[in-house]
Amino acid sequence: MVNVRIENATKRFGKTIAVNKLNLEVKDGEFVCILGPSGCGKTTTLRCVAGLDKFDEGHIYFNDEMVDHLSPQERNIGMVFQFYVVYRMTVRENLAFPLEIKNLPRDEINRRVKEIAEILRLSDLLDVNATKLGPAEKQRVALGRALIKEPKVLLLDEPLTNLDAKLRTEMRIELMRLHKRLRSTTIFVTHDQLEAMTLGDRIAVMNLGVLQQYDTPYNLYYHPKNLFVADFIGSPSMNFIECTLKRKNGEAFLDATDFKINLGDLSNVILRKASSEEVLMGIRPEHIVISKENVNDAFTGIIDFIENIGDKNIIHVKIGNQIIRVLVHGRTEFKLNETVYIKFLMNTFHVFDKKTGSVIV
Amino acid sequence: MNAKHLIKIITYLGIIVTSIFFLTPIAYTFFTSFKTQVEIYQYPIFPKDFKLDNYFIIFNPKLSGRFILWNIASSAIVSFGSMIISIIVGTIAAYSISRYRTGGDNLFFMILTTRMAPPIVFAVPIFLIMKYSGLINTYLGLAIVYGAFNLALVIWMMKSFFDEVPKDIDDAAQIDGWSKFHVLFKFVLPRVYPGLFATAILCIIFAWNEFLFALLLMQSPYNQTLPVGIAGFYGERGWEWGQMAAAGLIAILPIYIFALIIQRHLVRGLTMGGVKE
Amino acid sequence: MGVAKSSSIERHWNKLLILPTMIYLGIFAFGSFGLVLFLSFTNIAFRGEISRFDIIGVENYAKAIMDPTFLTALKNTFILAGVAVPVEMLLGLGIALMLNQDIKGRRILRSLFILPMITTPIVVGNMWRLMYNSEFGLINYVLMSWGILSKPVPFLGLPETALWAIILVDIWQWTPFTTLIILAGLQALPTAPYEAALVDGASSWQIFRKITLPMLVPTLLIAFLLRFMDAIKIFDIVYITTFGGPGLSTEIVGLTIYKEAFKKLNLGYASALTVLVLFIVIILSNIVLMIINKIMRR
Repeated sequence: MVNVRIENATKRFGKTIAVNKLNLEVKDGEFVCILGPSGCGKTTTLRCVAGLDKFDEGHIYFNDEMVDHLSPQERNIGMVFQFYVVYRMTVRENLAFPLEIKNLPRDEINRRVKEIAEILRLSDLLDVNATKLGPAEKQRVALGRALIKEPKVLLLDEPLTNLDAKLRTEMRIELMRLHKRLRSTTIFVTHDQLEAMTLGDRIAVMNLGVLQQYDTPYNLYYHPKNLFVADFIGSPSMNFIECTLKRKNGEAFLDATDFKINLGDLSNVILRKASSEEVLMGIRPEHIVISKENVNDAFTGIIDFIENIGDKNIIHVKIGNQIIRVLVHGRTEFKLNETVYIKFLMNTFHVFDKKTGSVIV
Repeated sequence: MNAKHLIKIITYLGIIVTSIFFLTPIAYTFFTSFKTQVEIYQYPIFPKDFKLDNYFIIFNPKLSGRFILWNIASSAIVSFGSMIISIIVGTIAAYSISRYRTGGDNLFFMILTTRMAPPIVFAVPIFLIMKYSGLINTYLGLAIVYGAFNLALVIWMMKSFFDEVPKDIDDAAQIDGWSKFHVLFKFVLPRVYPGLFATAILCIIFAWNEFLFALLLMQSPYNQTLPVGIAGFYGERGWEWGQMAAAGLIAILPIYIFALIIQRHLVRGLTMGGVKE
Repeated sequence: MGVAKSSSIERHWNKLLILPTMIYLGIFAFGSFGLVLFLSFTNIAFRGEISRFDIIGVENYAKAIMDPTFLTALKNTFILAGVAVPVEMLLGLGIALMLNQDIKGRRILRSLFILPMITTPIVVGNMWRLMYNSEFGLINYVLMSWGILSKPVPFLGLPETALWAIILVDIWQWTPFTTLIILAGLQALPTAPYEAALVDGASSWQIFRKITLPMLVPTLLIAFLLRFMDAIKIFDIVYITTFGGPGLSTEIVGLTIYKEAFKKLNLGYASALTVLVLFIVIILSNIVLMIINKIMRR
């Protein structure tokens, strides 16, 4: 099992910088997700780790040995591509392919094929032509082919993106089970933050080639380091309110024109760290309480829109000129244009410096 | 890394070797065209100097016994004329097949087969037809024959070019009230001008290079086409290799220039059906 | 605005457009073929004017299948196609693989490679006459300089070597054809299986054999079919280099028909030969197509 380290990696395509001074370390046996929107550099990074592309600057190390000059064949990795790549052979032949390349003895090959097929529930399909299978099955074959040679690193490039929702969830569980069992060092690329949050031990969030934050799902959710991460992680996404930092009576508060938020204990910290008075306050819809009855310190607003998503509702509350979204579970008794009162849960909001985007609290 | 390097080396070597193979006959002919009869034996590869004597000789019928200048004119007239015929007839047919699927797959296939048949098949009948319609030994006659041969090519090429123009253009124009005639000539045709140009050039190339029917149908040395004129370069005044080489180069130069101009579309036309583009 | 004046023209517009083509091809392609077919059952001869004309039924055909010249021509033609085309396929594959890689000047090379195909065939013939010449030709010169030959060989003049010399010319002229088709096929292949195989550890040779080649089979078959059909039509080259000689060693069917029709002036017999050749070509291409379909279905 292997530790993968990317050091100061940069890759350019013409004038665009696809990957910008990336530093990333994946520990032995860890399942790391690289998460980000299209064009953020995640697939490029993965391909460079695989050896299919090369970084213009920087190095890649497997267990502290530089692998930059090694071809994909020599790196002993397994890779699963976005578009379920299977060869035009039977499933058995697909799975055996990497082993046959290495000229392993026939018994060994058969044994491993049988084993992998069982783990991936492909045993009944072994003699079917792989191209005739459905997408999820093809992806399982591709996965099996990647794992069968017990690679040092397993690389997955958005493998679930092209599956429909139900298959996706199934395959996600499959992957988690596999990882628990095999404990291979895994790098999983995706643009779906839900996927990343469920699968990853740690997630590297990237945008426009730059690593935004590399942390556990918990930390990314509760302690985003900048605006991008805060916005990208979490569904529904965070509310952002423009505020001005003001002082009164030794305490700081945020003036959001239509309402004010007292900062209380955090005043000193914020005042010290803020570079200007223009800040953004962020609060997640699930951290807001909404009620038809007025309570202390609640803000008054009118329901502008109700979004129904299955067993939850997102209620758009209009306060002055701002719209704040609130997440409510279960059936809602709220109606449009009703007056409601919302309150932010303690210590769940974040303050971001408007110019730099980094978090203050 | 070793394997990768090895492949690169083999590739470069292979490319060099194949390039030499394909260019040598052309280069050798080029060099030979500058040698006098004597020099050909003395200087096996490169000429002593690049004098143009041979080139001047071949243009002079008294010296070479050949009517190269007339041959060139003849080739030009016939190539160009037949191109006009096949382009006009073929393009409108191609439009019909592309837009209306006229005749379905069967008709299109039948048209393509005319290109696949060995030309010799038509040698006897066309000879007789031309003879008895009085068109033998005329530019018009040969141009008509070449027009027929290139028709399938034009239809094939232009159909694929028309297919690339979205049908929305036709529909929009028709809805606006334009007649189908205008739809074709005013709206769609301008979109395929590059393809039309390339196809025209290709027709000229094929007509220019043709030998058998030029041989059969053109009998006077004054209106024989260039390939036929060149073919007569032995027997009559001895083996004047240098002149033969010079004449050959004169013949292929326009073709090479044309081919250079339409490079991009050349593959489509030359491989006709072999390549899906 | 050109509002439709005659609705009849509008209605039949598409058929109108194809009418000239139908007439044109009707006369020259299908009409000609009909004429050949008819004439094949006659003994028509032509010396400035028709000198005789009787319907003689299948006499021509009976004569043809026993005609040693014709049979030799058939044999030579098939030897030529049977040797040249596979070589062109192999070379084409090799060169296409080389050209498919990331090399500088790829576009220039591609332009260069089409030259043999578009060079006027008569000129090609003359070029190779120069090359093969036994007194000053390049090939003899080089082979003797390298000590492979002690005396120059008149390649086009010896019955043992003439056909092979022509085969080489055909290879020279048409390998670019197969190369271009195969190259286009290669470039159309998806890259994903290739990358997956790389990651799976396969060497370049293994990738080629197990991934690339199977996917290339349809392209290869088409290239083979097209080229084979074309090879049978060879005429110009042989006309200008050996004219069928020495003896009958390079007699190919096109030439035989030509000689019968226009040197011996037996148009009727030549027509019969023509029909026979066409018949053989059709049968052959259908067989090849059937084989192709079978392979494609697999």
